[in-house]
Amino acid sequence: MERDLIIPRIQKTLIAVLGHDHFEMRDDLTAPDVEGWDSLTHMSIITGLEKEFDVRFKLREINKLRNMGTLIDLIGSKFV
Amino acid sequence: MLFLSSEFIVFFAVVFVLYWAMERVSATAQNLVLLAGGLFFYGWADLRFLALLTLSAATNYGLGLAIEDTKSEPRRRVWFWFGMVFNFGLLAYFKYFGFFYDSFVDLLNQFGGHSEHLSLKIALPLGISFFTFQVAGYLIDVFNGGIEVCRKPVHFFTYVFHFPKLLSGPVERAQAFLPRLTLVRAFDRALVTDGARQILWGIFAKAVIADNLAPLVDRVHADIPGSGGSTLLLAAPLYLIQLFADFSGYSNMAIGTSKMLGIPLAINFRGPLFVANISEFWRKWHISLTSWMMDYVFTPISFLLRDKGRVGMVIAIFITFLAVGIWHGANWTFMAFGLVQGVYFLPLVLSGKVNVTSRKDRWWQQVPAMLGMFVLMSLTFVLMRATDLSAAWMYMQGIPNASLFETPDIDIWTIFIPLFVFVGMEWYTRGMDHALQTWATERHWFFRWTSYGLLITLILLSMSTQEAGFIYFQF
Repeated sequence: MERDLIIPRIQKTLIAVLGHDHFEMRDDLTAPDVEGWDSLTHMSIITGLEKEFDVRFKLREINKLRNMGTLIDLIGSKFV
Repeated sequence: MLFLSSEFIVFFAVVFVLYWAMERVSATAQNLVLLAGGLFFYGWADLRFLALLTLSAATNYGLGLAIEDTKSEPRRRVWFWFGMVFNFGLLAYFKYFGFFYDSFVDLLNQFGGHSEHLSLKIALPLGISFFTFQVAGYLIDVFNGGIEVCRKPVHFFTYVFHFPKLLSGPVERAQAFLPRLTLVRAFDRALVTDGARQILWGIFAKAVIADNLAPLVDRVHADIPGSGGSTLLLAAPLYLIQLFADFSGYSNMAIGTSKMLGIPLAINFRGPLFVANISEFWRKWHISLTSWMMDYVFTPISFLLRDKGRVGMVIAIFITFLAVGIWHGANWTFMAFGLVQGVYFLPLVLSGKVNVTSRKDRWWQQVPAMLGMFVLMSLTFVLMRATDLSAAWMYMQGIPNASLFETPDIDIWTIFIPLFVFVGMEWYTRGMDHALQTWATERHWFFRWTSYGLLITLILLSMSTQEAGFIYFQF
């Protein structure tokens, strides 16, 4: 799947879980940059993304996420 | 050797001079000074267990390499689980064996057995909880690919034996600490003086606030049945402030000391007395431990249970906070403390509010919620102070009765002004790393030096000749 198609759907999921859109979808965006994205909400975001894209992540894949760029790449890799 | 002792001042002065003298030599020379200092520091504190910690550090260093370099997945898993059993087994033996043995004996005796409790208490190696969590976190990260393995033994041992954090935290992550050892640390005057200010605030919190509140609180807990409702009700928040001053004071001394060596450590407290809900409290109280628990306990469990919706979240939260409670030690009061935290999270989780960001209220709109949380946490922390569950229960039962309307029998006036200054400053600087952080840049020199002078005077007046231990050393 193209990155351009993935990004708006991640954004949609984040807004649904966090209840706001005060963030910019940059590759170097990290969780601490986004209000409310902490360890408690992280798993809700992950499950939200799994539903949105109908994919399953592995714990190790999640542990390796560093920023939005790596998240987009991870989701993209599920559709190769 | 406590931070607040003449031995430590001499020790630190020697390390400080040697360390910065090595700035012109190499990073390795600086690391060797730190490592030698750490070994000496721990040996001074607890010579019997220096060998144990060294052996454990060496084992974990080797396990990290084994996990990283083993190609076969099943074997990697074997090394990893061996590491977990080794680290938590060691911790369990020293910290929990006596408790489980005695509890088991109690259970047997309930059914007519005649066994006896352990006659000899197992001595607890200082700092073992903090030590274990740091090396276990390192192995988990290596196993999950969250960190590059550390191949340099000097780096690894310097990380493990870094003396400012060795005995009582913060629980420092390897991925934050290890990269700092690769380059020479250049003397940064701003960082060093900031560290010194942080130490000053830490000593004030510990020596003036915590150590003066301690006898007031101790007296109430020594005679719960004889204390009236109002006395018990006042002693509860005083203990929360005492514990906060004691542990945040310790943390500020540790972090400040490390800053003076050019290595900032993880932040441990960020205004936890002023929070509007439970999830905010745990993001601000003992942050280095809570974030460890969230990453290595909550995240894997909630990941496994993610298809179970809110039930999965609730189970993960309960297990996580039970672990936080048990981390403090082998006592039913700590387990109850953890479970109660889980209960406090229930409304947030069940209403789905955990996911909704904090309201953008002005601070004064949050004051009622903050006061409510302060009272709730004060009463909850009675569990941390009470000797056992029945004492904690007696404490709670003692509050709601006619004596609630009498004048509390606690002589708070002797400490009132420093206490007011402490809580006021903590409130005013609640978003910052420490209360004196902006002192150098935003305060007139006269005001600045007057306040330093006042703090030092108060500290000297308060410091008793006896060394007072830190509460968190026992954990």
